Amino acid sequence: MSGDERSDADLHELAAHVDAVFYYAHNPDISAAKLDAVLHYGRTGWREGRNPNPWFDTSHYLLGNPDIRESGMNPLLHYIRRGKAEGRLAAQPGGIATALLEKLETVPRPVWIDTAPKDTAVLGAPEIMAALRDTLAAARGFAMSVSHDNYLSVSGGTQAVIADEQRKYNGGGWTYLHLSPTRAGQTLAEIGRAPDMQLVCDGKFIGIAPVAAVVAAMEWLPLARVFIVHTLHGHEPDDVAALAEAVDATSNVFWAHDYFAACEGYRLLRNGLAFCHAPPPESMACLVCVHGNTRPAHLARMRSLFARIPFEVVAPSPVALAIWTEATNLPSRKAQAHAHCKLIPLTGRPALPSPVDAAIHVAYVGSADSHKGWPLFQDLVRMLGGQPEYRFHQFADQGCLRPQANLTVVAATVRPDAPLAMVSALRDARIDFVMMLSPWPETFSLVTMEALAAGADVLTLSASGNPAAIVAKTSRGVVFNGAAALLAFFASGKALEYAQARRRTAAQVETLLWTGTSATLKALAGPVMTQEPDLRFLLDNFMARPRRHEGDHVLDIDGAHELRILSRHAAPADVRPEQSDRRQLGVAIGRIVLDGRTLACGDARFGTGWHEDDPATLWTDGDARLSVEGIRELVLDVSHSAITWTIA
Amino acid sequence: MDHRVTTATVCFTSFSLAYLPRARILVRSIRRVHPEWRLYALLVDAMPVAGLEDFDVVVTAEELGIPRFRSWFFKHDLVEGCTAVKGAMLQHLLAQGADRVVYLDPDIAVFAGLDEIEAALDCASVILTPHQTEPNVTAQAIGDNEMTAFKYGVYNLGFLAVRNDASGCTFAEWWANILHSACYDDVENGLFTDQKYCDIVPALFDRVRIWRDPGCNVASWNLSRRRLEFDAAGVCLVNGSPLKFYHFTKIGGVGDVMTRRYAVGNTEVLELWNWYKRQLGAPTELMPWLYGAFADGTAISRKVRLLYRKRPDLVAAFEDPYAVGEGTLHDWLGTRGHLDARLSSEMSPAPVGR
Repeated sequence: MSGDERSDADLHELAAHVDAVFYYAHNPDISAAKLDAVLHYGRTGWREGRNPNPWFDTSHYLLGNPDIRESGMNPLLHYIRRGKAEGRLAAQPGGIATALLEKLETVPRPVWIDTAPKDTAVLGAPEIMAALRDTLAAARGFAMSVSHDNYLSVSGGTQAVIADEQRKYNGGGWTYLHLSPTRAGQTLAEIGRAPDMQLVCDGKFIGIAPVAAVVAAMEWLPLARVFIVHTLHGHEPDDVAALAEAVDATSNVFWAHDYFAACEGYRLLRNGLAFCHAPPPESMACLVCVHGNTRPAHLARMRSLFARIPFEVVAPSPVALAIWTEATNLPSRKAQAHAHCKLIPLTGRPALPSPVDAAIHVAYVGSADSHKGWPLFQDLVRMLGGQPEYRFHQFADQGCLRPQANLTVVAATVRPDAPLAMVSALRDARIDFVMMLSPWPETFSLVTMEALAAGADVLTLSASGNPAAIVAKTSRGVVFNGAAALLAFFASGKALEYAQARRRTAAQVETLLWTGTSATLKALAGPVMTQEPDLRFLLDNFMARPRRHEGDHVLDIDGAHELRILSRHAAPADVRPEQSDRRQLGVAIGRIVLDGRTLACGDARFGTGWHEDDPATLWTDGDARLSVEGIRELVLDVSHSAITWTIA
Repeated sequence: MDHRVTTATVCFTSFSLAYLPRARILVRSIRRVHPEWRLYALLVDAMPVAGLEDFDVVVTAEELGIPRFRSWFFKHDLVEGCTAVKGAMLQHLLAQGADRVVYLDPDIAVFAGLDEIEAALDCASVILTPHQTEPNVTAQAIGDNEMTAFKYGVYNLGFLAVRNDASGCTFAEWWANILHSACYDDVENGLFTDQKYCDIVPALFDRVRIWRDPGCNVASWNLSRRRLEFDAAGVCLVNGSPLKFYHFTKIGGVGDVMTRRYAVGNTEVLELWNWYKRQLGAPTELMPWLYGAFADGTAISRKVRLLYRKRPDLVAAFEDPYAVGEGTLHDWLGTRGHLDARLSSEMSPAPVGR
């Protein structure tokens, strides 16, 4: 054979192993130059350290096999001809884990990104007060929340729940002020470099301000006040404490969206690889971890915040609450679990459409991150990708898609105006299995909820936290003890049997109902009198404390002129797809008895804020007025509230 | 009346300046778990301006009182030299009254207390750790590990613990003497520095204990049979036993290849390996080894060292073989064309141990 013939034969042999889709996706320069992937990798690409497919690591092969490096032979060609049989490894042992480790630095240097809009005026206390004046004047309550970024401009799970929380508070007549640092980072703010805050009030950006100005502006707040910490990345804990003290809330809520209170490595993945259980900071695990050095100082700052502010800790799942409590050992007034959204059956909807084809459709949802289990999904695609029984998909934001052979990529983005975008995309593709392969205990996992709502079952690992708990509770999927068991489920054909069996039973059609996060926490601001925790009675604008008598609320009027019944409100059509009622409903009043006389519909004592069109149930709109002139005692039967009714 | 006798453990390591960054990681790691130990640096090089502050005591090889030191030492390359002085240092520390002496290679890091080893020295005089403590099964692993042990020694002399008793002192005297006579990397003739000799230590001396705890002296040569994991309390376990010390042998070179080969699926090993690399930081420019060149900077080739070793007449004639000028070994070699014009090849760190 001539040299050219040999070269052609080599390329022909390589062609079966070079994944052109992957090669172009990872090498935009080759794609732009319209070069042939096989030809390019075979001749120069391997010398430039490029990888031909997701499973062969060119650099690793050459580094680990000095004999091949010196021979000048194409490493992939060597591997397929001899290396594999000789037991040489195609990629680094430990896969992406090893590659990740190679990149770890001595101290993970915090990267700070300025996130505030350019040319924004810095507000002082008077300007902040002016901006809040109108909304506060009519507010029934005031909620201040802090998180790591501006939820209006960033899409993501935490941002989505904050947006929902804001809407629910606003729906109940509360003012909602959100603060996020002007510099985004993965750690607490550097000591001595506390950032200014971006201020968003009721969903509108109002400017940036130093924390001191916000603190000074916290005057004339409504009686009902809540302070909420969603995330602390980029914040100075002392500043957060000062804000909480300025708000002087009835409740200070600390959300355990992650485990940042226990470590800067907020997923508790030691070196980004394996769940660490947040061991003592002086342990060997922390010694060898990239977050170990900074952990003692981080914990001291967290302890100081919790010593100053009596937080009620809320985790989005019982699993997360248990882990968070164990991991942080921080004092709290109360700890509870409360979900961000719930699955509710959609009655009266047609059943899910039938499958598009006989193949089993398996999806990975989200960006291709090792902390979401992408490497394991890759292993699965590599194992079964070419087989006609399976189709593999990735659903994510456009920028996070990773095209490669045997993988269909689908762009889908969840935004405040399209909260069910992922559910629809998964449903349209008739996904059978969504893989939820996080190696750390996810606190909530919106992906799992979206998968179930889309009619898919979830395959997950026991280490995944809430996804594993949801699957165990709903029996909608399988929980595996480890990667090997999951791969065996597919290799043995059990996955196929499982998928075919579930296709034979009619799927329940469901949707996601957002709870409003803090907005629907029970017993947040005062004693519980009804299912509606925010129900308030004001007599001539003074808070009145009703007595309970056999389920009724009894109020002593004591010379007052007017009673206001305040509560949160919601329109049924907004929260339940099958409802068409667009009225804002507060609480339903069964009967009103004034000094022993039951008030009839249409009585002149009814003021504003009543829906009198439905004689069967007397609804308020969330702020109803009643004249109590000359009355000594009033008895009310509050039968239910729109908020709890809609999310029950 | 309190009859307790205060006993003390001293620990030493032997290194040239090229290994100073490693020795510093070692000494800090020991301080974390054994703040009560007295730590000695045996420096086989010129005294640096800074960097040895973590040690309690620094002794240079020349201070050990070895007769005709420069003439004797000239026969050794870097690895041979750093190991040849270990016996004399052990004797020196025992003579000073240390109750227990522990030697650790500079490329080791200690992660948990060696209390069990200290306690074991109540009943033993010499403790050695084998390279392997479990048979290998694959041909490649047997070739890489067992077969290598036949050439380089069964026990890894990156670790040694000796009690100050009759048996311990007899061993120290024997070891120091034999290292003085021939501490060479001469595998063909059955020698490998200070290590290969120790294969016969269990036969020669009483109260020798072979320490088979999988948590001790973990290194690429035994990874094939050891598995590392962290428990929920953050303790690193090796086959279930807490990791006491890890030998980061030949990091950045063949150690990387062997570690990757045998840490398949055990990313915890790679985490440790990566931690060590992070501690080492970027390589800094090294000063040439004090004993790597003649006084004028001309490299001393291995050929020259072997020649000097074999020629008692040259040893007798040139008491300071490093010197240059008229009537020196350097002069004698130059006139016979034996001098290598290259600069010292021993500037770069060479691995200690195997």
